[in-house]
Amino acid sequence: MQFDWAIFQDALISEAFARGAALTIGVAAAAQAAAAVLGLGIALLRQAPFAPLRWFAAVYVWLFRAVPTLLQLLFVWNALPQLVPSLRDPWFTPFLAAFLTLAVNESAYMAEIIRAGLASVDKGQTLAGKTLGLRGDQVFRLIVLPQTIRVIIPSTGNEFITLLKLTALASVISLRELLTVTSQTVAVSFRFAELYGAATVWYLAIVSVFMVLQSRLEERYRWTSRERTTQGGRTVAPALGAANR
Amino acid sequence: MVSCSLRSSLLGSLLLVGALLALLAGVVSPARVGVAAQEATPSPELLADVGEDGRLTGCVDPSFPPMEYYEDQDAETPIGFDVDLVTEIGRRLGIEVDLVATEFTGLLPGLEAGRCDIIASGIYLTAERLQTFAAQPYFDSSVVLLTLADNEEIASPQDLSGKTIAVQSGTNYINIMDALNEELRAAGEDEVNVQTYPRQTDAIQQLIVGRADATITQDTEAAFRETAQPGQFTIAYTYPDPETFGIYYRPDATGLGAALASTVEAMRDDGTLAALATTWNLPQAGADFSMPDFSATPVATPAS
Repeated sequence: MQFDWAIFQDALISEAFARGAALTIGVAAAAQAAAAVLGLGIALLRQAPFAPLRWFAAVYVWLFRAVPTLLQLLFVWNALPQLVPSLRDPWFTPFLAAFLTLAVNESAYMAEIIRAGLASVDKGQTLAGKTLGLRGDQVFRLIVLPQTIRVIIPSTGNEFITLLKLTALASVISLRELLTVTSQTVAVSFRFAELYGAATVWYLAIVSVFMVLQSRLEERYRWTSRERTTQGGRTVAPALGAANR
Repeated sequence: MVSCSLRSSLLGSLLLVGALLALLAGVVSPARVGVAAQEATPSPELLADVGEDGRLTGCVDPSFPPMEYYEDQDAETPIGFDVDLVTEIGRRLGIEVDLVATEFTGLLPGLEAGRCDIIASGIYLTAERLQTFAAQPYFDSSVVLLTLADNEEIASPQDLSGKTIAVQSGTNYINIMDALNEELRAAGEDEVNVQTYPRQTDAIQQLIVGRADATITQDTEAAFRETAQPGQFTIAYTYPDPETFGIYYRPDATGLGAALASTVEAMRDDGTLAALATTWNLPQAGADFSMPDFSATPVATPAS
């Protein structure tokens, strides 16, 4: 069969593909956001003075990184309803199940990333903050957290891109995201090249948009002034403020 | 001497065992139904169509009992009606058969790509598929709605309104459900909540979990479930107009097509197909297959 551009274009702008892509982005974005918040909590618990909290955090990270994501999805969808029968009802949609499972799964990885980010902030920053008279939580919110965020943006970007593709696993719990829609359309019409090509273009588009957003975010967290002075051909940033000494 | 008598009694025992084995081999011969076992030689047209390895590669998705499935999780080769069918076809044509397990949505792409010579995996003939591939019909089967045994609410497709149904993705059942939803929408009733799962067994699992009120599948699957888990499921409704399973092959493989046609028709005429159906608890009436007339039925619109 010849590659049919008309079919390719139709699939590209079709409602089914758009809905599938929206679901993919929706689940991934929601799960990543929740995972970041949860992961921050777990990362802080790892440093808690109270030992059982530290153990809880350690076990959490161990458990949700060890069990494969697919198995977690199947467990939540098929095994949990046996313990909590109301999970069988239509309110527990595939989207909700996928969001919850992926958020918890991803939060374990985010906890480790954030822990590394927290460790990378020099202890002197906290001391300096306290010297300025800031409270513990203010030191964290105003000084440590922004620097942590700057460090973890590339890793988090990686995780989000992986999560976008991981949503395809949710086809086993009947979520009709982009890849599932592609397979199902192929099964009806057998125009493999055109449809797989359209799906590829969609994924490329989504990830490209996200990469642009990521670089904008990195720009925002780069606290050097936009003006640069040149010294003998070398570009040098002007002297930084006290916060970055 | 002791060793002498030991040796001779050992020899005697060996001779006795050997004689017994030879006797058994003569008595317990593999069951052959109908046609006498002949060593056929494959025609040059057939060999040209199966590629350089000279073997017939059949692809199956072993998640559709009793057509093809793994007997247990340790099993390495699938068993089933289609497996036996393809093996018998290979035997009659005098060509070796390789069975390759592939996921359902990858079967027909595999045929097109040349990874498979034939697909015999409980796939039935539809007008759209026949636009791209050729097929040899071999068994009739009806679509049924399967529910748990205690179901009293669902007796027809319209009763599914407002309920949840689990369906295998990539199948024609989704088209049937979409058509039903269009009907229900036009009548102002609640639509059916259709959930798609990768395998038929996943869909049946949702029945057991209690999330789905029904699943839509072939009577073959229903018959097997009745054998495997008697009394747990029941057929709530049988759709009229049975479909026909077909062995799919590439349309340019005319030698293969001719060989399949003559072999399968011979198997129907001499009762091999019916006997195979009985072995797998399938309705014998299905063995009396016919090629559906697609000129009468409108081409179904793809699921959107």
